[in-house]
Amino acid sequence: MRAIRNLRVAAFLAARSFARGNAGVTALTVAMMAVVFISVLFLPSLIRGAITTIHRQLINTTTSNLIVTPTNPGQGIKDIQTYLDKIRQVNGVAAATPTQRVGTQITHGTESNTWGVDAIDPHSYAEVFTTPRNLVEGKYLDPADTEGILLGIDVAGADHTRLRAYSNSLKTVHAGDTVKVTLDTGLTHTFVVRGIYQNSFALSDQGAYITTAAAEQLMPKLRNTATRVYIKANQGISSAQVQTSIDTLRHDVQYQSPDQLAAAIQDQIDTFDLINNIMRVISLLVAAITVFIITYVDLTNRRRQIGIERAIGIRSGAIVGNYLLKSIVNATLGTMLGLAVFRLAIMPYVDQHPFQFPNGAVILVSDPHTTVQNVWILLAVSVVSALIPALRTVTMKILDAIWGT
Amino acid sequence: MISAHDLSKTYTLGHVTVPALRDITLEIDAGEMVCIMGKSGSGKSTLLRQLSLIDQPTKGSILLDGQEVVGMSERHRSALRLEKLGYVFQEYALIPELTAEENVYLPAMMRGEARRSYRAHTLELLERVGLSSRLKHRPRALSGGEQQRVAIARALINRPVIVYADEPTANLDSAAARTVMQTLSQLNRDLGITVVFVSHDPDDSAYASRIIRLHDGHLQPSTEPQIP
Repeated sequence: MRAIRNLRVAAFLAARSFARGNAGVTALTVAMMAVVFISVLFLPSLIRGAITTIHRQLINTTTSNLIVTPTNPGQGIKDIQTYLDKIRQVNGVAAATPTQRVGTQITHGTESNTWGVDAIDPHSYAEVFTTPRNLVEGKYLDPADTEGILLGIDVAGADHTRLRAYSNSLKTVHAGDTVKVTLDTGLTHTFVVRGIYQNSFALSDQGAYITTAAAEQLMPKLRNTATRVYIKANQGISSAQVQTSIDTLRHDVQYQSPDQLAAAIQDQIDTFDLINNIMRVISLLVAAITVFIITYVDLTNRRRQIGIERAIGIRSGAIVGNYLLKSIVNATLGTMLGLAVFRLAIMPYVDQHPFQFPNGAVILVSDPHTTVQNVWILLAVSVVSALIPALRTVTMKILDAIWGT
Repeated sequence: MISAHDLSKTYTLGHVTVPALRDITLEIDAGEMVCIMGKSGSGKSTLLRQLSLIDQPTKGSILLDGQEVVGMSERHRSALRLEKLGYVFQEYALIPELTAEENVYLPAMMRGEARRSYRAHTLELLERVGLSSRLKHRPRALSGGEQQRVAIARALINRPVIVYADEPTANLDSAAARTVMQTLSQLNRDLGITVVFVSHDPDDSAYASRIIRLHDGHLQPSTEPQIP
């Protein structure tokens, strides 16, 4: 009964304070809460965006959704066309493409280095990977082209001296130039650079590709074999689901998901996760301190009024409840405003003008679960931040509260 | 009604202790209108705050209707202030976001009285203090005298046995001061409410049935008021 009376008076005082108090102060407080909430959302969303970009780049340019390799690496996957036909008929499979490792050394003039050279079917490769759409010079391979080669920017160099991998690249190779490829057979063959691509992803920008037609002409024994099959899954289908669906097709192969192949970038993801967690704690700490200061200043300004309310018999519970309710309403309005600004203004803006990170364009990616969690944390922080100074004020001597001694 | 025995209050300022009240013993009966007078620093406001349970004495005892209130928890003192005492501050002390009627009925809400009942009582009290036309006005739209009369109505809303007023006319012009004192006097006379007020103005003391004089924290012999 006493608690209900306290709540009733607290709600009455809070409602009147909102309705008739200083609207400017209320608006500024809500705006401050909104800014605090945006700061809580922004950096984690950016880091999540960076991690999402890494995953997207990994799947779109390097690993696809599922990789099939032979159980015995020395033998390759035989009768690849029949196998591909069966894979492509499986539900959940959007596309599949085979590759065949054919060489490891590329030379241009005095520059030479070791890179993997794969034979691809240009048509199906373009269905699985986005690489053909990221050309910075020349054109993509034609399936019948037996003399052309497609180089990654980190292989060609292309006079992009600011590339991180430039010093290890061929440095000055452009579309139309010729390069020598040392094949697995030990022979060397000269190819014309048809195009240069840049995925902005280190793992894929160090690749080089010739057509299956060229490989079969140079190494006939590779006909109808592959060292890997890359499978792109339909939207919403997981790697595990695809694997389960195709597992019965043959028994001399094994499967790898992007996660299993992401060891090279796992340290980056782990670092981003660590930064994300640290920044989240710091953001919430800043939010807590800001809310505490706002409430503390408000309570300090109203200390005399609180003293008077206590002197006329208003219970401490009602007074504390009043400030808790106001703090909760401010925090709720602030988080709603912050969320609206973040979702309706900041995220669309960044979608249009993405940040350029080393692994590609990064947009803000917010996780609804984390967002809801942040709302609750901020509300809890607001309650605690209001509770501490409010309790302090109602437990001090009435005369000290009124006269500020 | 209320009595004090050997009441002392000492303030500590750094290493210096300042005695504000020294061994005060007094008794105030129901229906009295008592004026506490004295020079500035004599301890009159300090005495009022002890009697009205806003402050705790350093030593001594205070009995309200026979119940010892010194040493009581703040929760119980708060309940007594709400249900048995009314307090009028020198500086009006209304809540700026509430209208006149809301300021008056807030303590009744806190007490748990029914809405219809406290609203009717509020109207009756504001009529009695001559402010029935100012119900919806907020404090900033009221004059000093009007605010003080709203504060008096607020002090009466829970039908207290004693109303304390700390220099209720100090910030008012003479006409407004006279209205406030007449209001307190009328309430004392018509409703039988005990009124204890602090003043240094002889004009105010004329409304009292008894004057308590303080000098350097000591109680002086009581006197009858002199009608100016």
